Amino acid sequence: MLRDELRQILEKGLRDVEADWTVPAAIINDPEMHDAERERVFGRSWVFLAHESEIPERGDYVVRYISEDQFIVCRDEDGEVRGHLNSCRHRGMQVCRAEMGNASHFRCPYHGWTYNNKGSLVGVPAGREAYGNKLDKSLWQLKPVPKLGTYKGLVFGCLDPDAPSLDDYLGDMKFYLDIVLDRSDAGLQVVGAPQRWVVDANWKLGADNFIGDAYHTMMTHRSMVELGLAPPDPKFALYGEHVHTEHGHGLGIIGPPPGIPLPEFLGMPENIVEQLQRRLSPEQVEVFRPVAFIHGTVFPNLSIGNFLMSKDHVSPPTSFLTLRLWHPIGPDKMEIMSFFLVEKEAPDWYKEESYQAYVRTFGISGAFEQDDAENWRSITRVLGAQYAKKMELNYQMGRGVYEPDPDWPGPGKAFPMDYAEANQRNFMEYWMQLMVTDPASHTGNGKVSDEAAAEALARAEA
Amino acid sequence: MTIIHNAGQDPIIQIANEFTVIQVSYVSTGQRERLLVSSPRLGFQTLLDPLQLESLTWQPPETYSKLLDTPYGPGAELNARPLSALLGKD
Ligand code: FES
Ligand SMILES: [Fe+2]
Repeated sequence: MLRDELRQILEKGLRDVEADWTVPAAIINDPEMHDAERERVFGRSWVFLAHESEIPERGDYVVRYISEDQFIVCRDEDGEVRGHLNSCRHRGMQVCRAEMGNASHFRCPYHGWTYNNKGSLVGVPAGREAYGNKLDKSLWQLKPVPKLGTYKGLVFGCLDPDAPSLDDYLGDMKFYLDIVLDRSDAGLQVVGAPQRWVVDANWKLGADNFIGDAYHTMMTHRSMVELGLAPPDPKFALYGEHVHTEHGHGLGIIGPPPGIPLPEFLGMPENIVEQLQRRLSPEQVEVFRPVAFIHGTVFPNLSIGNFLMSKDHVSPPTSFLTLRLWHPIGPDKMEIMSFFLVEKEAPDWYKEESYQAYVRTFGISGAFEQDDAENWRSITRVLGAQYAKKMELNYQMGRGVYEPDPDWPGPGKAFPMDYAEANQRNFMEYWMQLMVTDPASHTGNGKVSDEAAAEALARAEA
Repeated sequence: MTIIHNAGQDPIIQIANEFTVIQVSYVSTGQRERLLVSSPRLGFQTLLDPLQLESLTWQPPETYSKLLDTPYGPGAELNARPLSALLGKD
């Protein structure tokens, strides 16, 4: 149950975001909001766990998180991708304490219960003496992720067994995701382990920034323009399309500033351009051709950055692709996981240039990254205080300026300039809707989730 | 993988994951050639000849799951007796 006070803030917020285009500041840094969000938002959304290329071989695993629950995401001995709750069925100990590795079997470090990588309990120390061989191991498999799904190499998990399918959840956003994920025959590879760091900021600020905030570049990243690492027109991020879809997803697609010639298709290598023209639909090719920057968020906490940037002030710009997860670890703290991806079939020189452009701009020590994080920390600190919390935040950009663009060839609601806040309103509105909707009475009930777990295991073993 | 050396300076291959450590080395005594597989943490070891090793190559993953039924090694043949049975028996 949501406390009355929270419910009132959110219900007023829902009315205001429609009528006044404002959002209550209290949603950013409040411990009770955060508690409710864990269940109502992260308990019901499809959350990004891993890219398949991180676990290419049988036995490979990574440990990943949905809110506070941790899952072993692995490729089992038959090559299938699985997700198991990282908690032993005996006393709940973490089964894997390394965050990545390769194992056909996992042995719990507390008492030694041993599971294969399909999640079945296969071994119990002193089974005869301690359990008289009467422990029915088939009832004590690792709990599977209630729902696990893969889209073009991205593995997502969902805690709500009644959630819509991943396909429905991504919906029209798939048109845009494909442009990034599906432009080469062999697909993408994550290079190295993701960079991870903790920032004293609420996760929604990262999601909000990537989903639609082209406007901050002029001020926050001004020094990048001065250093020659961003285009010389400080309003470069204005010249784009601002698009959102159902379930809170959205993105900005930015083309070249007027009078600045930029290579087509983000300047990607020739062999990839040849493949993408064949693989993508004519509409997708049309959308992608003039692109210089793509920034977006898959609700709730997965963001995409596909940018054309220089690694220094003398080199020509190179494109790079980063996925980033804003993993909440408190109302005022998140762990950022930043993945660098590149087409497997890209030439080596491109992979190297692309990686360097990424680490120097949006890697952990990248200049853009640090500019942004400082703002998010400060906002979080300010909005955690009692008087500040009562404010409304202004989401009115583009009001009375732009109408939806009737000529846009892609799905979703598109606006003709990227200085708009329609995507952010759409995100916040969906978030608030989830927050005020009480979870169906049977979800979270142990019995049903046991059934879901048994079903998942039956599917897995079939 | 690490390569370490035993007292006789023969190489030992050591592989490990977060769950255990295992060592493999080559042993020959005259006509006999075997691989010595040992678990330094649990104290077990086995000498495998070519046919035994060959038989491993066609085992499905379930075989190893069955072998791990006793994850700390054999224990089922232990004859557990209550401590009370030992008391008052000087
Ligand atoms: S908690 Fe895992 S074996 Fe006891
Ligand atoms: Fe930024």
